[in-house]
Amino acid sequence: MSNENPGHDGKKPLFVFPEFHNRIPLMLAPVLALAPIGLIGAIWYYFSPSFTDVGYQPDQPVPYSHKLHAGDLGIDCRYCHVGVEKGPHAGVPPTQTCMNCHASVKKDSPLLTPVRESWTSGESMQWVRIHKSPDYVYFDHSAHVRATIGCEACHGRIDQAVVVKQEQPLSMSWCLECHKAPENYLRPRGTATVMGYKPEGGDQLAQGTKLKKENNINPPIHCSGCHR
Amino acid sequence: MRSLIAMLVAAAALGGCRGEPSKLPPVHLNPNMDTQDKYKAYGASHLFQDGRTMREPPANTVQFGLSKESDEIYRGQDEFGNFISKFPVTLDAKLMKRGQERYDIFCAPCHDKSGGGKGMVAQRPGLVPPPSFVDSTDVNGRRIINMPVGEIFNTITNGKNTMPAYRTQIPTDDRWAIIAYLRALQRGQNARLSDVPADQQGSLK
Repeated sequence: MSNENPGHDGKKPLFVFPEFHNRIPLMLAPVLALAPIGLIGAIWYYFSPSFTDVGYQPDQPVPYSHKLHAGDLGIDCRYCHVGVEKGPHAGVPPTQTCMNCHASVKKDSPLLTPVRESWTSGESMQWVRIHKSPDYVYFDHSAHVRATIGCEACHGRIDQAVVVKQEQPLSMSWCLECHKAPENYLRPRGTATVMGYKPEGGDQLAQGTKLKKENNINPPIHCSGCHR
Repeated sequence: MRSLIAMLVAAAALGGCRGEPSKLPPVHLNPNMDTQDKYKAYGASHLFQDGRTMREPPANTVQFGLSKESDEIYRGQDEFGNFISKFPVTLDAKLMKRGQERYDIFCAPCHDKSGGGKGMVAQRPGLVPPPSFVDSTDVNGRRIINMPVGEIFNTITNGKNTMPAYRTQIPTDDRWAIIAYLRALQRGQNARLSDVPADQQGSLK
C-alpha cells in the first residue's frame, strides 16, 4: 500500500488506514470476551461487604481500649453490654457505666473529658457505630448468645483490640455459612464471652455436633428468619 | 500483555485489598436499602430535643409488669422500713448458679471472685479498694457477714461510698441471686468441719 494515492482532485494524497487496522476487531475479540469476566470479578471483589465494610476502624470520641478493659482487667463483656442476653442489641453502655469506675480512676485524665462532660450535661456520648447490618436485617444478639456462639466468632479477639474494627463482613453469605453449619462455632452454654476459647478435646466439630443436638440448635435458613 | 498486567495492578492499588483498616465509613456501591430513614435503637434523632431515638418512660408512669409493689423484693425492707434478714426469693441451685455468673460479671472486677476486695479494677490507682466481705477476722468483714440481706440489696441497688448504684445494670432478680452467692462465698470461707455433711467429713480430715 502506498501513501501516494492521489486524492479526488488528483493532487493531495488521500489518507488510507494502515493495513493492520483490519486486524483490530480480531485482536479486540478476546478482550471483549474476557471483559464480562473481569467485570463480574471486580463486582464480586469490590462490591462485597468483605471489601466495603471489613476493616472499618473509626476514631471514637474517647480512645477506649477493649484490650485494657476486657483483656488486661478481665471485665466481662456483659458488664457494659448488658443487653446482649436480653434483646437484639448488645447495647452501648450509658455514660453512667463509664463513671462507675472513672469517677475515681483517672478522674482527671484529659482523654476522658468527653465522658465527664456527658456526665455533667446529660448529653449522649457520640460513639461511632462500627458494626451495622443492613436495615432490612433483624439480627438478635440474645438468640445467638443463648445458642452460645462466642462473641469472638463475629467480633474477633476484642480482648486484644486497642481500637475496635469490623472483623467480619456481616454479609448474608457469611451469616448463612454458620446458619447452615452451626456446629463449626457452637460452644457449651455460658462460655459465649470467653475469649480465645478452645473446645474440649480440641475437636470443635465433634463438640459442636453434640451441642447442636443436645441444645436443639436449628438456625433458620429461610428468608423470614432474618428478614421481615 | 504487559499493559494488561499494569492495568490490573493499578486497579488493585486504587481499590485496595479486602480487610484493610480504614477510618472512613463504609460506602456501599450498591445501596440496596441497606440504610433506611428509620429510627433504630441508640440512633440519633432529629425529632426529639435531646437528640436520642430511645425515650425514657414519661414521669409518674409505671412500666407494665414492673409495679415494684413488694417492699421486700424491690427495696429489701419489711413493712416498717427495716432491712429484711430473710431472702424474699426461693433459694435453689439454679439461683445460686445465676448468682455466681452475675457476681463474676458485675462484682468481681472490684471485689474479686472470692470476695476479698482485690479485684483487678480495685487495684487501679484512684480507687479505694472495697473491704473484704468474707474475712471474719476483719471488722468490716464481720459487719458484712452479719449484715441483713436487705441492706446488702440496698447497697447493690443504690451504691455506697465509692461503690456506684447497680440498679440499672443488674435487674432485681439477679441482685437477689448475687446476694445468695455472696452468702455462699462468706459461708464457704468461714466454714467449720461441722458444716460438712457427716458422711463426707472423713474425706477432709
